[in-house]
Amino acid sequence: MVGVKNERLGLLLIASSLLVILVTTGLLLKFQTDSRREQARFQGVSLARLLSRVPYEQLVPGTGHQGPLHVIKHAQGNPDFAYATVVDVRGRTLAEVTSPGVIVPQTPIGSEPSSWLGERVLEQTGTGGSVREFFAPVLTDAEIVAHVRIGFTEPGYAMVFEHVPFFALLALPIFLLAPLSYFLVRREIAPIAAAGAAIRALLEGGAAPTVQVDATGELGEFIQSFNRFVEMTQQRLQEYRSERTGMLASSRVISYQKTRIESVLDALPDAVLVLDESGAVGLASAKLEAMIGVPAQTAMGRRPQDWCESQELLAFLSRFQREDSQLHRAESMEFSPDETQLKRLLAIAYPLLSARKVSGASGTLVIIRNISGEFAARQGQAEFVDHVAHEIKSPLNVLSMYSETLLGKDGESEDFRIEACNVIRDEVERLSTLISTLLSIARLEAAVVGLNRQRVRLGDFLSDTLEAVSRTAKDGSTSCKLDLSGEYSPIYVDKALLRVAVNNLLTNAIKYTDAGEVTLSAEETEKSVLIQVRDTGIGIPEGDQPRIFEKFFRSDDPGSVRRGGHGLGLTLARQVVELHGGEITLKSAPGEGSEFSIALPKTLALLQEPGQS
Amino acid sequence: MKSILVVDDEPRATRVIKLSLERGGYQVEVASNGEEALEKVLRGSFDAVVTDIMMPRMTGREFCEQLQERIPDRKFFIFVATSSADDEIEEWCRDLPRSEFLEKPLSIRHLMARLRHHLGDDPSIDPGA
Repeated sequence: MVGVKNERLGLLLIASSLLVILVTTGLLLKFQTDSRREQARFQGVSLARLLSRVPYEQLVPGTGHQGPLHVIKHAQGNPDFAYATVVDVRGRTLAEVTSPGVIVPQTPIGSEPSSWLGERVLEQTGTGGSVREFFAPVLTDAEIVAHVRIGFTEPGYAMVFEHVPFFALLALPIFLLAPLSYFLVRREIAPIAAAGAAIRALLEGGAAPTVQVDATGELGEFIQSFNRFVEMTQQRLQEYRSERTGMLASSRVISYQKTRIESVLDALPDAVLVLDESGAVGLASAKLEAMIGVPAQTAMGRRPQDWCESQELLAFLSRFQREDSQLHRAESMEFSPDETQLKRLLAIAYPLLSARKVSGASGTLVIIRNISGEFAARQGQAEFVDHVAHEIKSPLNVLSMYSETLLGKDGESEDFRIEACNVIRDEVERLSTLISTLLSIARLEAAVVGLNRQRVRLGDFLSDTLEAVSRTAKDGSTSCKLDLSGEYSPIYVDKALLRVAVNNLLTNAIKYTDAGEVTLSAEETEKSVLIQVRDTGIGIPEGDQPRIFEKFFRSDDPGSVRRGGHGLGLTLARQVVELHGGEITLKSAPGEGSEFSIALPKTLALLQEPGQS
Repeated sequence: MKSILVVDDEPRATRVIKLSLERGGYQVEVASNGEEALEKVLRGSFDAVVTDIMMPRMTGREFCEQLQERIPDRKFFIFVATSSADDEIEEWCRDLPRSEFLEKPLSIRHLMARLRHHLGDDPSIDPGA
């Protein structure tokens, strides 16, 4: 493109220089022609008038005499002079002088006096040129006797040219120099154009050709430097490209690894946060939102005060923002992210030690773990331990105080001694029952107890159990009744455990019934075996019924409170029944009584001896 | 005669305490839970209250808090006796004005000594009289 442009510019240069030459020459020629024509007119008119005043006789001397015409021919120095002639009124030549090679045109002058004086242009016969002629009448006694005619060759351009060799000489070198200088300039700038092409090739990403030039001097040096520069640039470019390819590959590897690490972090059950030295979040796993309700993207790159809503967590995280308080070992804190306190989280901070820094951590890794389950279990455990302590210490308290009192003055009273002994025996029994029950529950809960299933005849089992309970019942005002109808299929159950369950139901029934009736019955249906304990006791308030099987649950009902107990009997009964795959249900109305039903589904396990297929 | 209110859901405990304190010259009333105790305190006048913590209906703690609210300028002394394994109760008791923490199993002799310490040697002299 640039080359073509250069060429066009060169041609334009030549054309315009030629044009300038032509115009200048034309203008000069025109000026010269005009000035010669003016000179001819001035001389012609003057000569014609001058000669017309010369007396006829002098003007036309006789043969052998030279008249004024000859003088004029030699005296005037105008090269354009063609001829001077005197003709009579009929047009015959009387005297004439001519420049060499000029033939005077035979054109008559008009006879009217108005046309005797004037100027005209005549064709010159033979030569093809033209002649400007000035004419005037020669008068003798106011009579026309002859005409004087002076002719000048009209200055033609070709003719004028011959007289202006200077312009031609001037024009020629200019004409020749213009294209020459153009080609010279072109030849000189050729290496620069090549350099331009090389740079273009370089920019377009191709290989740049070396600029071949045999130039010497500054340009040669320039081109050599340029070639070195291009070579170096190309080398750098090559290095950069291979470096870039390498970097691209490694960045892909890094991004792949990053994605993999992120997905591993996101898959962790815990939320992971990495704080940099300034305390801002450098990395946050997706679980953060599930933990504290803040999306990982929100926390990213920001300090905890800008996103953390939990004051406890904020205080914990803010500690790692100060340079002087960098961690040296792991620290942890438990907190609840909201008001409800239902959710319990554990934040553990580990110092991130860097190879770059000799002392101190270069950031902090924070793991947030949901410990709501453990927390609830811990709470439950603490509550359970509290209950157990209370249940054990209460009888111990009574024992301690009674024995202390026995040692004192009251011990001398026979009545008190008897009372104290009874109390001590009761409390010891209470403690021992409690301990057995606790052990049973613990074993059942830990599933240490496998069911020791054995063949049981339901009728015999129930009557034996009822008999044992009624024997220990102190108060005789409540009657215990067994209501068995017909025959029952033998069942395979853990006899000892089921006895504990039924026993607890019966003991409760007797305990909460003042002068009433407790009935133990059984029923076999198509799908299950039902064992029911019914009483006509105080009943259970409706509000307490859903919680009645809970460990240590005691009704606040005064009638119930008065009767004491650990609140473990029903818990144990339910655990035993559930271990057998059964269900225990309650129907009760305060003041009317309660009915507990044990439903054992007739599964293979219940109906077939273990080991039997 | 100085009167004491004994609050415990274990009737045998209240019985033996009542017996011993009465022999020691105090007039003793019993309540089986916080609700009953609060009623008795608001109705009558006592020189000291001995209360258990873990009780049905209203715990000893709730009872004491109710007392603080209803009788801010309470003059009588409260003995908090508990078998709880929780240290928190002891802490709470320390902040309760005019109170003392007693651990169960309770020693009647110790209780008596603390009563004498706070109420004076002679149980028959009513400080309010």
